[in-house]
Amino acid sequence: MNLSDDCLVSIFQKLQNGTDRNSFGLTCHRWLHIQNISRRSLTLHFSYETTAYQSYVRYLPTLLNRFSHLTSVSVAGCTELPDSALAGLKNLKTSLRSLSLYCCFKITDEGVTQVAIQCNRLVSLTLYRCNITDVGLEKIANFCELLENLNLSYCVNISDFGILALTRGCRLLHVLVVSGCRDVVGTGLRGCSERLEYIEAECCMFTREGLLEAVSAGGLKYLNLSSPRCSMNIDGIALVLAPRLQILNLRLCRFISNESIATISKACPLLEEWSVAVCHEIGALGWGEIGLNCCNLQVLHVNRCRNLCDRGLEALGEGCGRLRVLHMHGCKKVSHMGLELFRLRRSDVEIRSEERVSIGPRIYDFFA
Amino acid sequence: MAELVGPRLYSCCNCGNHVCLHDDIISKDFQGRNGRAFLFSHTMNIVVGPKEDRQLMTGLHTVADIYCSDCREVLGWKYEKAYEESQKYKEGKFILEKPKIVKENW
Repeated sequence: MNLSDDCLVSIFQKLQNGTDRNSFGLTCHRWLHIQNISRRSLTLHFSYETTAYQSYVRYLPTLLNRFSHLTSVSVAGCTELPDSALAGLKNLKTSLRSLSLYCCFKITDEGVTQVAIQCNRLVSLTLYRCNITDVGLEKIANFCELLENLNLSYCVNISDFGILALTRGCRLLHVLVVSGCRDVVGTGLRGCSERLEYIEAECCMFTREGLLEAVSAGGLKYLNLSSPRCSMNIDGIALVLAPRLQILNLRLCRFISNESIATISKACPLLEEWSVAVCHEIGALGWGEIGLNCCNLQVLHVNRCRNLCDRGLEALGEGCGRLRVLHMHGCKKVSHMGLELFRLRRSDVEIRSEERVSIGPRIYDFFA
Repeated sequence: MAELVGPRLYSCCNCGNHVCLHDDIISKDFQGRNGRAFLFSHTMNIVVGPKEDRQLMTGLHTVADIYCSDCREVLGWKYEKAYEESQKYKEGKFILEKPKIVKENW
């Protein structure tokens, strides 16, 4: 009796553990082929042994050749991986949906261009600390129309020029991570579609114009502008255009003023989680505005805010009806009495001392 | 023409936290890990790390790295103990590296 390939594939997929699967593949060439085409993801992890990376460079082309139906490929820590190693991705033209390259310092625009042209059905792309420039981004914008999730963290040679190309070319873009990209100020997000709902821009230097462009489409739900690299006051005015904003991270934006806080709290009625940790300029006025306007706020982070005093805490307690969790520690002006009064008044609010660097959903889950 | 109001402050290069006063400079003649460094008698808003023994250009010292209290950027170190008589004057004083601090509006 001759079983067809589909039968064998169904049988193979019922095998749960690795030993069984390997035994299946060792039976004969045909069954090895079945095992190979059934593999969907290839992940080369970070390793403490430097010899591991040498073997990644050596074997990656062979692996890409062998497994021709991969949907997801991830290579981490391989700093010597050359552009030519990515040539094997052309075998995965129709199947590849997600590619992640972490700390592959030798990957340049050339490699990224190859990827973009050959794998134009990509949905998620991560180029963490790769050596790419705006040229590479333009190629991605031209060829990868289905791109939804893009991570360009710490690609320090890119600028708003490249981001603009992406905004125009990838209209399905949903999640954009530009953390640590020093030259990105946000103006490249001009004309972005309302599908762009998550922007992660930690350690950037967004200007007021840039912020305006980022929110102009109106679809933004999550914005992370924490740890800006300079003394910029984030002008709340821009966020008037982001009424659907639910999660806002302004940790370490130490110069944000009471006025900006007031504007933001009025402009974003749907705000559910907000971090203003280490924002020392916020005083009683600002806290009052948060209390008054943030009716949907459920989680608030005020760790280490130097100017949060008993009055401010009281104002928060009197407002913010839906507040469930308050992250607070190191606020030197809050006295024991003030804290106890808050606890008595708002027994429904859980006070946690942990300081969260990132809030809201795990952005990297989108790239899975 | 800006009028100088108040003391001349230095801030952390990363987050702008005020860390020291120009008036507290004892010497500008020091070498840090990345170039020039200044010796200060006082600092503020910093966190002192664990003590360790280090062989510096001027001999063996026990030092502790100091960090900005807000963003935890390493800004320099504090001299805890000096083992040569000529270096004893540094004990209890702080080194802040020039690339790590910026002048605050002056």
